[in-house]
Formats: sequence, structure tokens, C-alpha cells
Amino acid sequence: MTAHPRRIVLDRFFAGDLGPEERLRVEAHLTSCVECEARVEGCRREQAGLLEAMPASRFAQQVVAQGRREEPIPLASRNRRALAAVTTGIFAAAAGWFFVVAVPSNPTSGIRLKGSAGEMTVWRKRGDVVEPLPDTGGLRAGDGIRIGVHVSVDVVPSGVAGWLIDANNNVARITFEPGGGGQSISAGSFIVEAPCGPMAVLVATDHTGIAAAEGLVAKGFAAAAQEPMTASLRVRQLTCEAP
Amino acid sequence: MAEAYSRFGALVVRRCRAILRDPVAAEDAMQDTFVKLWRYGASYREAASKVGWLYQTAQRCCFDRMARGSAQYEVLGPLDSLEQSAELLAPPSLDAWETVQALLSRLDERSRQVAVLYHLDEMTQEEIADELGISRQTVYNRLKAIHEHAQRMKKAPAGRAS
Repeated sequence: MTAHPRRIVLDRFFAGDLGPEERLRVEAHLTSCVECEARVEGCRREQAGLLEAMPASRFAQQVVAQGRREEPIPLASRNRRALAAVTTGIFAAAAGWFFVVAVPSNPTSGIRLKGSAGEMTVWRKRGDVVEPLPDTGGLRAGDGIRIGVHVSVDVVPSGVAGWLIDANNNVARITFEPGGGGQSISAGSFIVEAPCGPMAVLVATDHTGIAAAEGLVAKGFAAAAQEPMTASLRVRQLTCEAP
Repeated sequence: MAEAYSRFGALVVRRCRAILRDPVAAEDAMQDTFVKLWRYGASYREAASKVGWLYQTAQRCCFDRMARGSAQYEVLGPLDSLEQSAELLAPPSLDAWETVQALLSRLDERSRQVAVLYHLDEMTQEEIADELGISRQTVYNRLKAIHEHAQRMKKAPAGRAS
């Protein structure tokens, strides 16, 4: 009998993670080694038990939900945060029409937009109602918000960056995912926590804008609140309304 | 994601259980591991060994959980100044791991890595040194300090680690 393969090699054999030569060596060893065969068989049994207890599709859903909840939020202090990233699932019910709702027209120059679509939209979910936040609209504690940005169809998603910054200078990084048709949507939603305070949303769509936004984020809310809207850096103030 | 779980889920949870010794925490750490796969899928896809990638990630997730549960590490003495002994270290084994595992939450992260690679992955000291980018002497010193500490812990009355 050949020397026992290392445990990790047996694990890789079980999972089909070995190259052909090494796989053949392990197979040859297993024909004469009850101990190693038992380890591989134990893996098989455990895998079957695991899948029975938690089917793969359900596990994948849980993982994605947890991942969305834990989107990196480089807040200065998590205890002082005004916003919390939550799973996109909150808006799942609205997802069907999310991408087809007309976006307010707001053409600009200096950046190639898709049609006449506005470059940034803040979506508000209050109760079961999801709608673009009107220019004069405000937020309340408990509202969910999600950010959409229209860019040229040839702008890759990584070319879009966003930040939420509150009056206490807490910052939440917005990660965007391609939504199709030149639209990128924040990967997660944000819940406004009590007490609601003024916030600014920054969305940058090219390197110049990203550099400018990073400078603003470093300076804090007051600087962001005074920033005029430019082609590559969009800033929108979010205000609160009485509950 | 579902495909990776179907292939590797049992291995990952088994690995987490070996490190944490708590089945519930191990399942949580397994889920943490797959969250990282979901988030850093490109790195996973490029990995030559999927099991290797998952084990390293699972190990990190377990250590993170340990750190959250026990923020203070125990100082094991001047690890890098120990004299090299002619005495050979105990060979890697699951029996030895039983003792080392109980000590794990009180080790610094580098020592944890060394202990896991030595006992669970059965890597040689040279391989560990290459893997972690440290000298073989450092690997040896850390293993020796861990094992001596583990031995003292075994002899000490319950509740007293050293």
C-alpha cells in the first residue's frame, strides 16, 4: 500500500478538485486503504446529510441575503450611523417594475446618457409603495431608499461609484450593479433610521467624478451639501419630513 | 453558489467544526465563507484549488468569529527567541489537534495559521514557511511554543490554562 495521502488531498479528491494524475494515484491508494476510503465515504455521507438538511437553493438564498445585509459600510462609528444597509429583498416585490418606471428627464452635457433619462434617481419605499423620490419629497425613519443611475451603455459598472453621507459625516458606500439598458442600481437598499437627519447622495460616473467625490466625502456632509451638480458628479440632498 | 455548496459544503463545515469545535458556530462560519465566495467570486474562480481557496477563507471566517468571541490573546512568551531544540515536534495528528484547538482562541492569528496548517493540512514546516512568507525557524518556534503551552494546559487543573 502506498503512503496515505494528506487529508487535504483526500478532501480534494472527494470534491473532484484534483488533476487527473493525482486523482489516479489517490484512486489506486483507496483500493487498498480502508482508513482513507472511510474518510472519503464520510465526506459523501456528510454532504448528503447537509443537502438534505439544507437544500442548495435555499442555502444560496440565505447566503445572498446575508451578503446583501453585510455590504461593506465604512462608517466612522456603526453605533452612530443613520443608515443601515439591508437586503435587496426588501424591494423584491417592487423589482418587477423597478426597471421600467420612467425616470424624470434631466438631460445634461459632458456625459453620454442613454436617451433623455436622468442620471440619478433616488427611489423611496414607504410601506408597500416604491416611487422615485420627488424633488420636493422628504424621508422619514423607516423609509427604504435605493439609488439608480443612468449612464452610457458603454460605461462599465465599476465606473460608477456612490456614497451616502449624513449630517454626522457617517458615510455608507453604495455599490452598484448593472441593471440593464445603461442603468446601474445600488446593490443594496438603505433604511432610514430614527431620528431621520439630512443626507447627501453622491454618485460619480467617471474617474474625474470619483476623485472629486472622494475629496468631498473626506471633507464631510457640509462640503457635499454645497457641491453643485456636475456632469460627472451628481449630488442630491435628502431632507426629512415630519412623520 | 448552489453548485459550490453542493460540492464543497460538507468539507467547509467540517473544516469550520475542526477549528471552532462548536457545530452551530461552524455552520455560521460556513455561511460566512460562502458569503465571501459570493462577494469575491472572481478570486474563487481563478483559484487553482477550489478546496484550498475555501479552506483558507473558512479559516479566516473562523478566526474572525474567535476574535469576536475572545478579543484578548494570551501571550505565549517570546516566540521568536526560543532556542531551537533537538527534540522533534509532535507529528501532526488529529489527536494533537484536540489539545491545540482548545488553545486556539487565545493565540495570535499567525500562530493559529501555523497550527491549522500543521495539524489539519499536515503541511511540513518548510511548506508552512513558504505559504505564510515567514522563516522556517519562526514556524518551528511558534509550533514549539504552542505545543508546550498545550502540554501545560493539559496538566493544569480545569479552568487554569497555564
